[in-house]
Parts: sequence; C-alpha cells; structure tokens
Amino acid sequence: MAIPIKDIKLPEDSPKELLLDKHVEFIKRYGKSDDDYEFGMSDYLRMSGMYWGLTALELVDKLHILPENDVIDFIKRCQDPETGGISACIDHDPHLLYTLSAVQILCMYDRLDAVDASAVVNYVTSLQLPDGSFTGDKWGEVDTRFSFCAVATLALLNRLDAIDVEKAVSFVESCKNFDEGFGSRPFSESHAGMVYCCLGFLSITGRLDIVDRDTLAWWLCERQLPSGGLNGRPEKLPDVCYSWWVLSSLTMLGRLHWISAPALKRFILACQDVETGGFSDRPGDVADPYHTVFGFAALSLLGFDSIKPVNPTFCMPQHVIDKLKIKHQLL
Amino acid sequence: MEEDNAMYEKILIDIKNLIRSDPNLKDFCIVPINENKNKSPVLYEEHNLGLELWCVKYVYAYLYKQLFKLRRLLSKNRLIQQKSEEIDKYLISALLIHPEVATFWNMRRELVEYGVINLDIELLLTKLVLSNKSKSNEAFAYRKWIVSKLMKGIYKHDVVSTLALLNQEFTVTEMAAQNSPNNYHAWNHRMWCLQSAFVKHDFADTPMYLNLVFEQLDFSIRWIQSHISEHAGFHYRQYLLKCVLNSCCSVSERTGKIRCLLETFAHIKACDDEGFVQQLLGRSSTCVNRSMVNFILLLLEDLFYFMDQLNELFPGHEAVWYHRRFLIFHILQIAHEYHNVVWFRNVNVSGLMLNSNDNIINVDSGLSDTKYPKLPKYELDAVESSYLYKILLKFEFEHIQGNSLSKCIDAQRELARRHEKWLHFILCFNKSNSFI
Ligand SMILES: [Zn+2]
Repeated sequence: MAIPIKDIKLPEDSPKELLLDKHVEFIKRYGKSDDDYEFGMSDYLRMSGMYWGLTALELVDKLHILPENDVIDFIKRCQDPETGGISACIDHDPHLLYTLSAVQILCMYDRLDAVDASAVVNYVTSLQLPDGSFTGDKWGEVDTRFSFCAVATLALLNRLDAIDVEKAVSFVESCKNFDEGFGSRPFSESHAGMVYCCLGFLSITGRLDIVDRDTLAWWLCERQLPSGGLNGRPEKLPDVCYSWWVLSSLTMLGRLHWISAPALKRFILACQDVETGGFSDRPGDVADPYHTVFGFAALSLLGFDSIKPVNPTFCMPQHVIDKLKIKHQLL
Repeated sequence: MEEDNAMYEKILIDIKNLIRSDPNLKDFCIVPINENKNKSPVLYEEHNLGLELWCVKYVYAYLYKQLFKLRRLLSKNRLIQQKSEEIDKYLISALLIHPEVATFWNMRRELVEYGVINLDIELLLTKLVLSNKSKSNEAFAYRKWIVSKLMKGIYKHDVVSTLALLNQEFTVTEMAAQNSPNNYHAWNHRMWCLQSAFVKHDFADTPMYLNLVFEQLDFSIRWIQSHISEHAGFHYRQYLLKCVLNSCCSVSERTGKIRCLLETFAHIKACDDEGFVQQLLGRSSTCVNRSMVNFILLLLEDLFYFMDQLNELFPGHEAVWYHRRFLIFHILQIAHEYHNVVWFRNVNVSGLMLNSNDNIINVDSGLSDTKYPKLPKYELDAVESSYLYKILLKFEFEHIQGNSLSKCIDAQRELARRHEKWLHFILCFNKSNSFI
C-alpha cells in the first residue's frame, strides 16, 4: 500500500530559467484588461492588485513602464475624506488592507505627499481595540493580518507612536500556538500566512524575542515538500505564495539557510507560465499578479541577481526601506 | 437595453422572493448553462436555488451599477424605504454571485442597522452564500457580526437559547468544512461561536459546559476519522481539549472510564482519578485542581488509544503525527505545572550539520545510531523522575521504532524519523533525560 505524500510532481518540460521579459509584459497587460466583467470582478481588491503588480515591476526595475500619475491619482481618489482610510477602488469602503497597499505604493514612488497622511494615521489608530487587536474596518472583524497592516502602515509613515504598541504585541502573542506558529486570532490554527503577518508585526515592533526562534523555524522548514515547494499548513499542497510567506519568515528569524534553496528555486521557476508570462500557484495553473510578485520576492530572497533585493518584513524593494530609514528588527 | 433591464429586474425579484418565501432553502449554485433558452434562468428545485451561468455576467454588471449609484445615500441613511428595499434586492444577488466584495456586505450591515432587514434572513443568505463559496472570509465575517447581534439579544441566564444558536452554527460550519477541506474560516467561526457562548454565560463551572465540550470532542473523533489528512480538524480537537482546563467540574463518569483503560496500560491501580494521577506524577507540592486531572486523563486517552488507532488505520499522515506532538507537549507542560517547576527546554539544533543545499529536516541527525548523542546530564527534576515520564519515553520510542520498520510505508517511516528529531531537538525529550 503506497500512500503518496500530498504534493505535486514538477512536469519534465517546466521552465528552468527566469522568463523576466514575459513577466513584465504580463503585469503591463493585466492592468488593462478590456473584459469589463472580469475587471469589475476584481475591483474589490484593486489597490492590492496594483501593489502586487507595481512591486513586481520595481523589483525588476521596470516601474516606469506604467504611468505614475494615473496611479497616484487613483490612490488620491480612494482616500475617504471622512475617515482617512483608503479603499480598494473608487466608491468602495475604506479598509486597513488597502490602506497599507496604497501607502506601500506611495512609498515606492516617494509620493506620500499625495494623500492626507495624518488622516491615514487617525484611521489606523481608530481601529485599535482595548485588547490591543485591530479591526480591518469599522465593522469590527479582528485578525492578526490587520495588526500587521496597522503597524506596517504606521511604520512607513513613521508614526508607530500613535498606537498602544505594548497592547498590540500582547494581542499578537495571544495568537501564538504551542508550535510557536500563529493563527488569525486567539485559538486559531497555525498558518504560514499568519506566521508571516505576526513575525512581520514583531519585526516592526522590535519584539521578535517573544517567539522561540528555532521551534518556529523548524515548523516552517517542515512546510517544504519533496517537489521543493512550500505549503502553508500540514498536508496541504505547495503554492508559490507560501514560498514567500515561509521564506520571508525564515529570513526574519535568520534561518533562511535551513531550507533547501535549490529545490525551492526549481519549484518556483516551474510555476512560470511560458505563454502568458506571470507565475501561478502551481505548475500549469492560471498566472496572476499576486503569485507573480511573491514568486519574484521569494527568488530575490534566494539571491537571484536579476531581481532587486526585497525586504522580508514589508515585501517592498529594500532600497525603498533604506531610503525612508524604516526601522525594523531581523534576527 | 430597457428590455434587458426589465429582464434583470425580474431575475433579481425572483431570487429575492424565493429567499423570503422558503426558509428551508439549502443550497445555491451557478448552473453551467451557457445559452439563453428564453426561459427564466432562476432555477428552484427541492429547496435548492440555482442561477444559469449565461446571465450571471450581465446581471452582475447591472446590479453593480445600480448599487454604487445608491452607495453614498445609503451610508448617509438618506434613502426612502422603497429604495432601501431595492438595495436589499440587488445585494442578495450581488452577494450570491460575488461574496468577496466587502462593500456589499457593509451595505447589508447598514440595512440591518436601519432596521430594513431582519437577522433571520441574513442567516439564510449567508448560509446560501457559504453553500456555494464555502471559504468566503467576508461571508463568515458578516455571519459573525449577525451572530453576535443575536447573542446580545439572549438573556444572560438563557443558556438554552445560546445552545440552539450554537447548534445552528455547528450545522453551517460543518457544511462549509465538508465542502472545502481544511476550511480555515469555517473552523475559526466554530471556535469563535463556542468561545463567545462561554464568555457570555460564564458557565465553565457547571456540568453543562463540560457536556458541551465532550459532545464536541465526540463529534471531532467522528470528523477526524473521515477527514484524516485535515489538520484543521485536529486543531479543533486541540482547542476543545484545552477548553477542559477551564472547568473544575468533576466528570468522573467519563474520566473514570478513561482511568480504567489507562490503568491496564500503565499497570497501576487507583481508587479515584486524583489518586491515579498522583501515582503517575508523584505527589504535587501545590494544590491540584480538578481541571488538571481531567486534562491529563483526556490527553493520555488520546495519546495511548485514539492516536494508536489512527496510526494503525491511517499511516503516512502528517496531521496525525502533529496531533501526537500536541499531546506530548501538553502532557509535559501540565506535568510541570502540576509540580510547579519551570519547564526549561534548551532547543539546540547545532548538532545538525547543514550543507548549503539541504533542508535541516532532512539532515542526518545520527539519532538512529546506537551511539546516542548524550547531553551532559544534570539532576532530574520532579517531572523527569516521574513514572509518567518514563512510560511516555518508552511509549514514544517504541512507537518510533515500530513505525520505522521496513514493512511500513515510506511516508510513515519518514514521519517517524521526523518525530524522533522533533522530540529530540525541539522538545528536548530524549533518552538522556532518563534511566532507560
Ligand atoms: Zn497561493
């Protein structure tokens, strides 16, 4: 009886080189889809979509191929004059997720002046609850992802002092499990995506000391499957976006060298679409900007020369973080 | 154009009316019919609702436009009743088709706050949405918002109403978990509901609390047996096991049975649960409360019986071995608490020589060699010198050996090897800590 481990097999003919030009074309095209229906369907996360695409472009030094003014103008129009929060798209409701994406884009262009930054700070501050957690918007859903968005936004605006950091840390700590992994709320299962958010949060607040580094790094390394790809939880399939979440987490913990880099590289490269360009979650699936930026970012951490260094905490080009002198802790 | 709009309106009204008139609707889905056959694309059969694919695109584009025309006025509460009801109609279809749009859910929240729609319809709508898109984070977030409103409306002494609400949520989360494996949001929702009920009624020290937890533990056994590779199901069980720690009630009917099982296994005999735990762990210097005794017994039952059974039936599953880790970790942790000693784990992986191309998990640790890497030995603490510690060590290492035999499947041997390394390097639970 042979029960194979849940994994995939890389196709023989999968790409082994980085198809850089194709990916640039892919991102460029993606912003201009003329299928109205498809386009309207992704309005609800447009701001993050732009952050993924633009970050991918900047990582390969091609940010200039898209018109900066249109982007900045769009972001301006997405800031809610009442709350200061930023929405995914014009007329949609503001949310922390898109507020962070917008601020990240503005930092890349060095155009923080384009929005009312103090209104953004007020918005973020207004979402902290007495237990230190953050809600994503005024309707009250709590998630460690939002804790990350809050401190990342404030750190990029150099206003971390605007919230109760100590309480925010104790909330995140209350979401830690016995395996030292984190879930989205207290009692939730450890999940590599949430591990990234919580480590990123702790990196920004300078409190990585609250995790047992090697216990968590061990759990993260166990996410690597025989195909070389990484999954986000036990017995799940490998996925390119988890390459980023797990790898950036290991980098923050100073344990990047614990994983098999050649195997992971092979897996990520195999997820490129040779025809359309872009990366997909697994070989053969449809490519999208989300997996494309995380594919790039992971390859950057693995030391690909043709991709600029990426910052593991913010998932932004390192030179942007350097220029803005954003403090954060890495082990 | 006008004609088309009239057709879309008709579709939207049909859907709204079906939802209003049939509280027993079970299921919504988009039916893959690609061409317009000149009949209504809204299908309704045996409490199931369907919408033919060909019209989805147009209907969505139409209602998207209508909804954003009214968005501002709604949030300012400047709409007349009739317009609000129109929005309700648009939103129902919008969310059935595309539940990830947070702004649409927010508009429904506003309608609820203005008293335009009632909460029962919202439970039905979210259930239908989840029957089609079982992983929708936004749908669960909204449902949570509705459930907390309902829970607020229940009197503090009325646990029965809360239990009824819980049962309803259990049904929905089970459906969502059935539909998509390892459904993170579904299990989170379930735990959130339980947790909210506990906080609201503060009834941990009544028998009802543990009964509820045990009922769920029994459910989780059944769930796990049919979803063996879903770690999310194991995690739910782990949450429930930890819930036991909140209650100091005695449940000797249940724990007594566990004790009988364990007595044969451990070759000891005791007259009650406390006495049994004392034989396993030695006399505690602090006061031992009932919750600890319950917890230890349940963890041991899971480790010695439930895990053994799963291991036999389902070799090669990481989720099973991860649950084992949870059990051993918590047995050791509670044992330290029992003796009021600090658990000092010196996690040290420096013994693993890394070459640059390998994953640390796969590096040969030399653990299976006869020459066992000996740690410098210090004096054993109260936990390490307990009888339980010894049988646990013996049990774990026999388990590892038994699952490393050549007759075992590869995946199982690999997991046994990983388990040994994890015990050694991460938990610092190894033979050098004992006399064996
Ligand atoms: Zn993915």
